Amino acid sequence: MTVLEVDIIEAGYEVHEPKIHGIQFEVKPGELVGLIGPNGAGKSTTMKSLMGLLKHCKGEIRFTGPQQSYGYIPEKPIMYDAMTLWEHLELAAAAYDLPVDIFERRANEMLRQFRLQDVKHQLPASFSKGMQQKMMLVIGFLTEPDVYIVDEPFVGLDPRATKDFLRMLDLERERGAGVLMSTHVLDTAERICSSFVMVDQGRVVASGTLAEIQAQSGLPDGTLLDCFDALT
Amino acid sequence: MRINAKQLATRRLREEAVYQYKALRSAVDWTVMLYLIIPGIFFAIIGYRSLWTDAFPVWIEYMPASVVAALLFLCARRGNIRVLVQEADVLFLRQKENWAHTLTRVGCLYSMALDAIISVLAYVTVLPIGIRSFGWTWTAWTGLLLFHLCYSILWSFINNRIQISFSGWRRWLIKWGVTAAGGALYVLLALRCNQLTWLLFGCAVLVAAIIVIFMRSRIQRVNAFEQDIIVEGKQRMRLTGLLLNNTLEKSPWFRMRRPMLFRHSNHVFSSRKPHMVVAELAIKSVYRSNLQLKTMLQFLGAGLVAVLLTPATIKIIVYVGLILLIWYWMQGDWNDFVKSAYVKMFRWREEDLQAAKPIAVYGMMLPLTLVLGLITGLLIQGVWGGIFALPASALFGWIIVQTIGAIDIRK
Repeated sequence: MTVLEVDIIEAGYEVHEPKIHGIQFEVKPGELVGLIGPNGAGKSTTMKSLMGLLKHCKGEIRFTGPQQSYGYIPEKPIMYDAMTLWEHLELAAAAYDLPVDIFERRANEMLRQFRLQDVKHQLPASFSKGMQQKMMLVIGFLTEPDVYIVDEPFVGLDPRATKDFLRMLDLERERGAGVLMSTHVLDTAERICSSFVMVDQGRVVASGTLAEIQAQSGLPDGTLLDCFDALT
Repeated sequence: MRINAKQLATRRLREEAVYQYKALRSAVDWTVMLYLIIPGIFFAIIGYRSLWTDAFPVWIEYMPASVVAALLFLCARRGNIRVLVQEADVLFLRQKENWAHTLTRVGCLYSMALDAIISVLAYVTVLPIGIRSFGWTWTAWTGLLLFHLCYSILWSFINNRIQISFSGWRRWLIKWGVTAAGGALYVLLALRCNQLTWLLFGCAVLVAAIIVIFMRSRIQRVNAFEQDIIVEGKQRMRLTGLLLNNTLEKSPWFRMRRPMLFRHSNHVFSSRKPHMVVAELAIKSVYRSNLQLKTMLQFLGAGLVAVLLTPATIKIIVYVGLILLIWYWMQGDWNDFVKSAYVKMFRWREEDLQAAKPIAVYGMMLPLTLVLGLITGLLIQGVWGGIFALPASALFGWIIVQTIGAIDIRK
């Protein structure tokens, strides 16, 4: 059983200039898959392909969970200048047709969890970067999707917010959600991810659990960083 | 050969000129401009000559000297000081203090030269009016020009000091406080230039001495790098900002924590169905945008003039044309809203967006539709016309979004 199945033959920003080729992997319920690779390896292109944001994408991407839904947590906060935090959440809830009572209960719970309750009627454009990033987490967790697509989640978060984020992620995995997380923070990734997809120059160079990655890189006792260094 | 600080400063000035030229070229069609500039220069020369030889137009004869003095003062307070720093200078250039001094010195001289050119141009332009209408003597004019030139340069240094030393409401308060005090002094001296000619020369010398102090202080002040970068960026983008004045949302000088409208995320519609929520938030976004409100007011002004100036039988046609224009414009705003990065983060049901669209576009159109309808009705049929026009306009707007609005011509 899976929540996400990816089989991208090729994808890119221009018709005849694919940036990624032959990207295949799947995410199972409760699994946390780390999408790792050096700068320019094709991680962002892969993420955009999954969300249908690229015009030129050949292949198949299937959200196979019960709701066939995903929640996206971007690296850089995305928001409207003229909408309050609460209105951003309302718009997200509208996209998933979340009943009003469930939306209000979950939204207030999340806001309390991330200590944003007092600023819910304020404009996020006036928030600090860290608060804006926390808002992205609240939006991501609000709809309880089948799979989370998380881009560089640790950038801009303070240690407490990072801890809250990881705790929420664990709870969601216990619920049965899968997580695909792109990150450069390899020591944290090694500690929390259940498996990895390592990309380089637009192709998958290794995938599987840490033990499998170690075997593929020929470093049976190596850290994820050592394996990354050897394979990319 | 290694580059030195003076050469770097010259290169930056050259790059600046190229950048400004490119900005201008991107917004202006030179072939068209050639047809405007050449006749424009010709007519300007003829017009200026006639200011010396012919009788003045009535509006000049009735123009008070204080208005000319105030305009000249506004011209004097437009400047700032360039220090020619760039963001990447933090990597190594800031460690070479003498280079920073040289860049600042060249930047100051460049800014002063620019102030001088603009001052002379302004005073040559008003010279015939000053001499023939206000009775300035040539000595008084020279004294005024010298005073203006020094005053203008001093303002540039003061403006620069205010911008790098203060922020928020303090900056606003100090800037406008200095403007009010300086403006009053300037207008007073300009109005009595014939009686106070020698005082003007004296003031010019005094201001020149103060400029030297400001300039030395500015050159020595290398610890305001972050603020200098911001001020330089603003100066660099000044022309571009002017050209794109009506297309880009300016970053506000004061960012509000809460919006002015619907401060508690209040609902516009009681229904919380997805399409109603989307429509509501699209409408709120438009009415909370300063740029949108400004453009709406400008459109309303132009629309009212068009309705006022046309004969009664044509007014309705003009009104219908204006409403169609508003619909076209708001349809574009709706498209921008649904194509924004935030909306794209989620997977939407097409039927929700389709159902939200007419409600959102209608909500965005409504205030302008009603005001224009009311005025048109009042002008055609008096009070009863106005009363009838309100519901009729509301209905007309709804018919448009439900009929031709179904065709997305801006997709």
